[in-house]
Amino acid sequence: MVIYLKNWYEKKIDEITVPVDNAEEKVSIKLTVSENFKYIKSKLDPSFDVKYRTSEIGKIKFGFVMLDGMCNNELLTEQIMIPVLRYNYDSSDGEKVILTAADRISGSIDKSIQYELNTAIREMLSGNLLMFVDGSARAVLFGVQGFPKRNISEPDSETQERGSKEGFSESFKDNVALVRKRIRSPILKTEVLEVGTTSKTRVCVLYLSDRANEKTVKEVKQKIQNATLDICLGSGYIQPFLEGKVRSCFSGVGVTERPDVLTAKLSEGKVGIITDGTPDALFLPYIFTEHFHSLDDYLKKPYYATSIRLLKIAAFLISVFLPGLYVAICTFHQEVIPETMIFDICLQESFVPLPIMAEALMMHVVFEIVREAGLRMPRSVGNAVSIVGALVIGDAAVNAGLVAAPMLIILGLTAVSSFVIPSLYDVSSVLRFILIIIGGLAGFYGIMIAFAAVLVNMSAIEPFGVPFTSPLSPTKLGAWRDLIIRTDWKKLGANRLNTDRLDK
Amino acid sequence: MNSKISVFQFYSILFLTRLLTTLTYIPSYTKEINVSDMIFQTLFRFVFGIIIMLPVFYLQEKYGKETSAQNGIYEKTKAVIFSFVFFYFSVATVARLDLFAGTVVFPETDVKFFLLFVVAFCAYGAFLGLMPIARSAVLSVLPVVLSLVFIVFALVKKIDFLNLSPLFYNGIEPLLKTSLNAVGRTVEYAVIAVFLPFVQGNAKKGFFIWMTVQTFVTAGIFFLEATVLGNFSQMQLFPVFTLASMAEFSFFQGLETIITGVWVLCAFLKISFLLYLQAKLITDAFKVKKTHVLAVLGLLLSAICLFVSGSVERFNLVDTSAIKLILVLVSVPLLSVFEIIKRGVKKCVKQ
Amino acid sequence: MRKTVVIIACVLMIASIINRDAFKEDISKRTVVQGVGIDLNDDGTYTVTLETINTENYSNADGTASPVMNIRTLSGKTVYSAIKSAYSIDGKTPLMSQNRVIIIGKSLAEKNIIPALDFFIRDAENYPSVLIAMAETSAEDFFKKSTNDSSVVSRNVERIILTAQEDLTVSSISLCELVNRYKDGASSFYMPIMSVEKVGEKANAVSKGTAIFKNGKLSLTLNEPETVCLNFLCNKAKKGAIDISVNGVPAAVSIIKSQTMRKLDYQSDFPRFNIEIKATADLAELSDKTISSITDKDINKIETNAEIKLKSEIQDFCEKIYKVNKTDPVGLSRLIFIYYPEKYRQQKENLNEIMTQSQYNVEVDIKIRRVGQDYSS
Repeated sequence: MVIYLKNWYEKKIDEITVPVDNAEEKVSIKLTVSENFKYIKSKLDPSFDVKYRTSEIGKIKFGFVMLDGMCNNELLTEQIMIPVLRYNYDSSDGEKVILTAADRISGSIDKSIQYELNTAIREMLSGNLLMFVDGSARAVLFGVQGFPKRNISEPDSETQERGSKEGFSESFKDNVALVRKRIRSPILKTEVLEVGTTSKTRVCVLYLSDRANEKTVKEVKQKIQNATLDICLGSGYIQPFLEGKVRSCFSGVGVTERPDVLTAKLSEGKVGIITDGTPDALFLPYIFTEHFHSLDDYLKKPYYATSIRLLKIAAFLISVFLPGLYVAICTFHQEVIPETMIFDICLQESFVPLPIMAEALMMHVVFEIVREAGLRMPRSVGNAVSIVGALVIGDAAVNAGLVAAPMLIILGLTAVSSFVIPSLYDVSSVLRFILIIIGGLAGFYGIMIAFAAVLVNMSAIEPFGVPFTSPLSPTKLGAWRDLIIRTDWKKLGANRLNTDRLDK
Repeated sequence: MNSKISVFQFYSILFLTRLLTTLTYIPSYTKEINVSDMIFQTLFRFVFGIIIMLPVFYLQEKYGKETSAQNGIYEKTKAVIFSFVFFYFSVATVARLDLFAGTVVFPETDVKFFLLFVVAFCAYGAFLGLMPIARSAVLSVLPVVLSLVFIVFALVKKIDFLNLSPLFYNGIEPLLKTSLNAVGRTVEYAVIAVFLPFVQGNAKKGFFIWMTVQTFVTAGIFFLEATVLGNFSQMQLFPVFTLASMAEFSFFQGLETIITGVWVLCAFLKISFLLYLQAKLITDAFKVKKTHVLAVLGLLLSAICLFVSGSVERFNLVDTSAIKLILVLVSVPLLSVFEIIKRGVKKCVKQ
Repeated sequence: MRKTVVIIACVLMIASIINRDAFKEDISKRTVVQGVGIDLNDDGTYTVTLETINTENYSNADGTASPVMNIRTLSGKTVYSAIKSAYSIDGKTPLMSQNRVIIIGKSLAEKNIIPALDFFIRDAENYPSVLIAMAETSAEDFFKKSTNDSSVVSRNVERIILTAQEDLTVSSISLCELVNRYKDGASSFYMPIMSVEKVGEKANAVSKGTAIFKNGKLSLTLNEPETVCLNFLCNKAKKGAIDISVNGVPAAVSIIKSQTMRKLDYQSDFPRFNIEIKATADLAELSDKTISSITDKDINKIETNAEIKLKSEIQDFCEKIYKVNKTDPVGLSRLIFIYYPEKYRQQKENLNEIMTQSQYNVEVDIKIRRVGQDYSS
């Protein structure tokens, strides 16, 4: 029985995942620069950030390949290009020239000789300069890495305990380089498109060619190209064009400020979009359960990650339902209140002049005002606003008899819970207000109807053919290994999730 | 009907819609039957269900792959009959919800506003289509089952076997009558009859599992009702609601609110699904716009329910067991037998 | 078109919010009822006593909490009209869902309590699990005399009744159970009797035996030892103390676990009820002057004495309620309905008579589990 269940579960995992293939073809370096360039292009194109340069000194033909944004240009020019191209070579034999260049030029730079082309490409993708010489079956790699590093700031809204502190910046090339830095493989494709008739904003579509759905990539490119925009000042301008026809407060397009998150998403076969001048990236298709996942989950022990995910689900439910439920219970379903609490609630609420629904609405509006003010003000003033807000909606309101203390506890709990999942803040905020009104008018009965309507609405979202509610519904048990319970990396690492397969 | 759903999704919807019928049953239908006989009534119903579904599965087995002209007079008549059946059951479901809301949730308030609210939301659900309804049903199954299990656990200590009564004390007739009534209240048979060709997977096996599961669940609910409430249940308008109100767990009380939630969720899915089916049948048969059909159906449903709201006599009109039974029997076995004969004759003529 | 629909929907919603009549009054506009007392007046009207949460006088000048309960006496032709008249006192509608207990006044108990309970069965806000008890005098008196500044009478009563599982001398019954007993062939049921006991300045509610009802009317009152028998017969005795005497020395055994099996067989036309009680107990106290160790022999004696005592008391109790009083509060007649439905059908009309002539065999088996620390074999 146990073996049967194990086999059945493994089969379910196989249905939804693809084994990770580490095998790589070995290709020797070609004798001509053009042949090597051709091979690299076949592997990397389309990739706008890969730069090719050829130079001929006498009969010797040099070929350079580098990754724009990943190399230190100053170092490259002064320490490599000028010495290599100005050196007086004794012979025009490719083998000798390349050995001389590797041996005698630019002594202070890290160098290595490569015979295998795929390894050389991988090194080049790490920020090394790759040099070929006609007639030589070797390549020299110069360590001139200069990709963006720690001066890139930490993302504000996606802070992690562990893991990289790098966040996307406004620099388009740097953002792409941050992803490239994490995927040193030729399968990462980066295509640049232009959006905005006036602004001509550069938008880069990133995907891994071996796993991203071709149809999705094509559709994404088409939708971006067809986006009727005059100017595009951020990824939020493009996002609506990528969403489906169903009107919903949920979105099938994800947003991240973290290059590592985007990399993880790309590895699942998703498509990333980096917009010039925006410190965040879009990725799609985005499903509901991803809201409850964060990079920290994968960097910590599975049991901890699992408990954190459960906590996040609870926080989301609290932030959406708690005020509405409180209003519904106090208005229609007083029988639910435990006998030990009914005294306090009854006494406290009897002093408040407003009906409970109006009280809840008022308090949540005040809270949103304080939050919005704190967000828009300079940080120093923002803190002051928060303190005043806390006083106003705290003790003072209770003492003045404007608000009952239980309502304040509900508000506090809701507010804190709503910050647990920043990506769902907008949704929970809107739904909360709707549910307060419905809870006050139709009680739990109305809340359930509204919940069912939201559920159906959510189920109708299908970003690029992948149901938003997958893998819960349609049920893909194989993907449940990383749904609420996060399986160990030993198991998770062997097979990777293929988003494409969540749609069937 | 071009969209296809999986067997699991299909029977998930039917599980919830049938559960709603069990949760909202009114003992006035079953006055003559003993509380304990209600448990065994489910077995009879299981057998009746299988019998009336035989022609449907035979038809599907023999002519399932053959498609008939969508715009033929027979197809149009069939679409109208099924739409009427589904519409009648939609009205009955909303009316029952109205009776519940008016009696239990808002006894002192006019519930007309809420009825409109419900119908509007359900029409929206139907407008979004089959897939969202099916996915929502699958998402709802687990919480619904967990809620029921929680209430069962909270009730276990209140079980008193002395509340049971001897089997067939009033004879077998009330049992058969109640079982037939229960068959009549199962619109799901009509749904299967019309929807079977559009289900992916082994629908027959799914049907059997669904029947077994719903028989067990219904029997379980009636068992609890008989042992916890005893004769008291026959005095209640909605005994399952009263049963849940007996449940207490730690300092949690008033667990009937959970049942209300389950009930409302199931009602939403049922009304949405039935509205979707009606819209789809009419759209396919008469080539009209789905949105327009849904708008008309929604308005009609609202108008009838507003008319019914607040009057027990009118409620009895739209929620009559006999009418429901006739509708189910006409639309399920009779229409299927007729179609089998019709197709058989057609085949003979061709040969 | 779409915008118009959205605007109309928003206007409707706002209008509903502003219009207070569109939704039910919230908890601040309700009077939370914790207990209900019902008395029948001579003119056939009801006097209903409501114990409600006092929200008007929350805090005193010195910041301490005030008495939180109100006792309201209302009257009406029906229980419902009396309860509803609470609205005229403070403009708040009574909220019945938090009602813990219904106290029946003696005047009502002597007439017929069933009509007075109809509201509690019919109204959805009331719970079928609400507990029922009878006041030794009138329900109004009971509430008024037992109330004090700091306690909630209804909660105390609820606590006392719920201790029935820990205290053999207290009986308990819920509304649902009462209705089921009443609807049985014998139409008998029981409920605890509540009384007020004054200790110094403070008055407290206490349990004072059990009242037996037949056809809705008070038929007999049981004292505390009889209530113990009732609890054993109803299989409701789970824990509690039994006082016995061993060689003239008073002793107490504490019942830890008890199970009553009620079986039935027919001899000619009359049933024979075999009641088997199996209990596990601890020796709680043996008031012996010598404080000597207990031996196996002593244990056997304690067990036998406890068994004999309980058996004879239960046997006498059966005689009293079935043969003298002709009631069936235990519900043994239901066993006939369950196991011999045909006999039941024949004897339904004169069931109480049949029960009078039935045999009641009681077997008690008590096992002492622990005797304390001074055991020697």
